[in-house]
Amino acid sequence: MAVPAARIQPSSVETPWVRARRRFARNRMAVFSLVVLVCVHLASVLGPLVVPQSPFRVDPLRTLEPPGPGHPLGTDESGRDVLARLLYGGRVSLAVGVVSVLLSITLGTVVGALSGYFGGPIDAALMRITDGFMALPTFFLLLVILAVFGGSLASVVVVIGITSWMTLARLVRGEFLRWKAQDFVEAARALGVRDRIIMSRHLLPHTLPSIIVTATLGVAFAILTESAISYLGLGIQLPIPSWGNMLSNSQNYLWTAPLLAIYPGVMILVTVLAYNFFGNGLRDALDPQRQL
Amino acid sequence: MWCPHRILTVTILTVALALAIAPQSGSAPATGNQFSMPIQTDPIMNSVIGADTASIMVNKVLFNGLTKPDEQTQSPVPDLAESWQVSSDGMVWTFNLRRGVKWHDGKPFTADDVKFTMDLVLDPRVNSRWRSNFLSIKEVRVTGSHEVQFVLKERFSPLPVFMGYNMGILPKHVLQGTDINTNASFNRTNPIGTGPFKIREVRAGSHVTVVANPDFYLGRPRIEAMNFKVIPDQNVQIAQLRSGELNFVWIEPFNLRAVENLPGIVINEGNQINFWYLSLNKNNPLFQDRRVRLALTLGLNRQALVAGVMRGKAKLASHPWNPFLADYYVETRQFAYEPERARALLAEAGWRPGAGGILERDGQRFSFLLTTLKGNPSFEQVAVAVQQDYQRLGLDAKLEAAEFSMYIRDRRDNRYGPGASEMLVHFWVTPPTPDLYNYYGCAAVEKGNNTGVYCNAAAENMFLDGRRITDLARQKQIYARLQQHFAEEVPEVPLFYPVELRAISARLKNFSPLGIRDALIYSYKWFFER
Repeated sequence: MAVPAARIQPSSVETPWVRARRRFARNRMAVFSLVVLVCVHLASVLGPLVVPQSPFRVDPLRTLEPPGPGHPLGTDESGRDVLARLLYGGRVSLAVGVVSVLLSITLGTVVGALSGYFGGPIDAALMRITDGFMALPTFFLLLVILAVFGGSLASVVVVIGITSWMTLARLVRGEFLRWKAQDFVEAARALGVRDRIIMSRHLLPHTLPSIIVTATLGVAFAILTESAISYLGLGIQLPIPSWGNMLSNSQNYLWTAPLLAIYPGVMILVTVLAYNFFGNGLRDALDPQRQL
Repeated sequence: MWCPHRILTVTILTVALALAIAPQSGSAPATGNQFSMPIQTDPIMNSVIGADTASIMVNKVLFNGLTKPDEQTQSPVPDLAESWQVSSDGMVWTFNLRRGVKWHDGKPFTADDVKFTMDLVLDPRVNSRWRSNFLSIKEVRVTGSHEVQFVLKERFSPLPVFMGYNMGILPKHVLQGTDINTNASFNRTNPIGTGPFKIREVRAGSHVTVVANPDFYLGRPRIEAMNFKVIPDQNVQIAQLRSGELNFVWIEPFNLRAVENLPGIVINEGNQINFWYLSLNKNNPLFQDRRVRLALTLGLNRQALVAGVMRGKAKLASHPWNPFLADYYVETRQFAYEPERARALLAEAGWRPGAGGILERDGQRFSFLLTTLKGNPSFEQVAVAVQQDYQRLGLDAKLEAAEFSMYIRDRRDNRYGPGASEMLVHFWVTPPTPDLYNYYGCAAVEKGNNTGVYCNAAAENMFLDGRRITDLARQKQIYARLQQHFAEEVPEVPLFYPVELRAISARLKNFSPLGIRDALIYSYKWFFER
C-alpha cells in the first residue's frame, strides 16, 4: 500500500530555520514583543524625522509644561519638547544597546572559537583571561573607566562591549568542543581544509542559534546598563538625551513634573521586557532538543 | 555577574517613586514650639573653621559676632560690640563690647575672647576661610576688659561689616591650648557660644538639636528648640515640609509650583546679596572690546531667564551691586533685549558672518567655551538658553558642564587662559558691603575672586578710595560712580539678582527678611502662632 507522497513531504523537508519560525510563531508573547520592538525601533529611527520639534531647541518661557498642543508630551525643564527628546534619546539608547552587543558578540565569539577549536595552552590562556574578566565586578569597573575617560557615546559603547563578552565566549567554546569532535569536521580536516575555513564554514553556523539568543538578551542588558550609568551621571552627557540620563535628570522635577520621569522609565521598561521575551522565544524556537 | 532583572527592578522602582513619593518616616512632626529646618551635611560647629552652608547656618544661632547686618538695610549694627569708632587716620578701630554677656557655660564674655578668636583667624595654621576678609589687620589689642582695638596695615572701611559676616566669637577659656582644626569635642559635639540657642543633641548624619538659651543677652528666645535635620535631597525636604516635619525649606525656583498654595505653607522671599552673571575672561581678546560685551548683554534674552528659569523671583541686573544694599544701590542704565542692536554692535566691532553663519574677523571665528556647573538645574537651564541666544547672534558657544571640584578649582586658580573656561555661568553671594574689590579689583586677579580678570585703572582708583574713606556720604558717592562705571563698561554680562525663595510654616511669625543665613541671627525673635 503506497502512502501518498504529498502527505509525507512537508515534515520531512522542513529545515531547522523553517521549524524555528513555526515554533516562534506559536509563542504569542514573543511575537507580540517582536512587534513592540519593531515599533520602538522604527519610532526612534524615523521619529526624529517625523516630529517637527528639535530635541535641542530651548524655550525658557515654556518650561515644565504638561502635555498640550504643540508639545504632545509636554516640555522639560529648559522648554525642550519631551516627545522629540524621547525619540532622539531612544536612538541613542538603542544604538548603544545594538552596537555594544555587536562588539561584545564579536569579542566573545572570537575568543570562544579560538579557545574551543585549538584547545591546549591557547584554550587555557584564553579561558583564564575570561575567568579574570568574570571575576571583576563589572558595574564598578564600568564606573571607574567612565569616571577616568569621561562619558561619551563611543566610550559607553566600548566599555559595555568589553565588559559583557565573557558568557558568550564560554558558550561558543562549549559548542565548538562539541561540534569539532563530529565526523564532518574530521572529514574536512582530512581533506586539508584550513583551520580558518573549518571554523567559519563548518563550526560557526552550528553555534549561530546560541549567538543570536545571547545577543538578543544582551541588547536588553546593554540598554539597562547604559540607563544605569547615565542615571549615575557618568554615561551619555546632556544636552544629548538618552533614556537613562532623561530619567536621571527628571529626579529634580519629581514634584513639579513627575511625567518627565515616567516617560523614559516606561520606554526602558517596555523595550527591555520586549527584548527579554523575544530572546526567550528565540531560544525555545531554536533549541533542537525541544520538541514542539 | 550582574543580574539584568535586578536592574529592571531598580528601574521599575524609580518609576514607582515618581508616581508616589511617600514622606519619609522616622521622625515625629515638628509640633508646638520647635523649629525644624534641613541642612545638607553635618555641621562643623566652630565659627572660625566652619565655612560650608550647613556650618554657617548652625553657627549663626550658637555664636555671635561683634556686629550683625541690620534686618532692613543690611548695614552693620551692634551685636556683641555696643559701639565702634575709627581713628582719624583710619588705621585703628576701637570696639566697645557689651557687658554682662555670658557663655553657654556661664562664664563671662570679655575682650580676651575677641582677641583669641581674631588671632585664630589670622593664624595661617588654622583652616579659616575668613582669613582673606581680614588681611588688612596688623594686630588685635585688648585695651580694657570690654574694649578691643584693631590696628590695621592699611585703611579698610568695611571692617565692621566683616565683623558681622559669619565671624562668630569663640570662648578663649574653652579652646585655649587645643588644636582648633581637630578639636572634635567642641567642633562636632559640644560647642559653647554666646548665641540664642545652646547645643542639646548631635547625631551624625541625622540631626543637630539646639534649645533656647535662657541667659541670652537679648532675652530668652520665644522658640523652645531648633532642629537642624541633615537632608541633602530636595524631594525629601519638600515631602517633609508637606507632612509638617519641617517648618522651612529653601527652594529652587523650579520647585516653586510644588509648594505654592499648600495649606499651612507660605512662600517667603529673602533679601540675599546674590548676583548672577556671565563671567567673561578678559584675558581672551574676544571679550576685550566693550562693544562686544555690550552686544552679549543686549543680545541675550535675560528677561526670559528671569521669567522662565527664575519664575519671576529675581530682579534684572545692570551691574554687580545688589539693590538689597539699600544704603548704596543706585539705578543705572537698564539693558533691554535688543538682538538687532547687538548684531549692529558686533558688526561695528568688525565681526562679519562667515561659514555656517558663525561670525568671523580676520579669519578668526567667534567661538568660545561656555562653562556651567554640572548638577545644578538652574545653572544648566541658564546655560542652554544662553547658548541658543548667542547661536542666533552668530556666536559659537560650546557648552561644557564641569564637576563642582573642577569648576571651583578653575575659579580658584584663575585658570581662564586659552583652553580653560572662557565664559562662565556664575554667581556670588557676597558680604553686605559695597566693597567688591575682592571680585573686580586688580590685586584680586592673582589673589582673590576676580574670575573675569577685570583690571581697569579708573575702577581700581574708585575701589581703593571706597576702602579708605569711612565717611558714609562720600562712600555712597564713590560707589554710585562705580555702579555707573560698571553699567557703561559691562565687564561681565549682568543677569539678575535672585531673591532667596523659602517655603515656611504659616504659623511661624516674625521671620526675618534677610537671607536665611543672616535671618538665623534674628531667630530669637521668631515665634509660632497658636
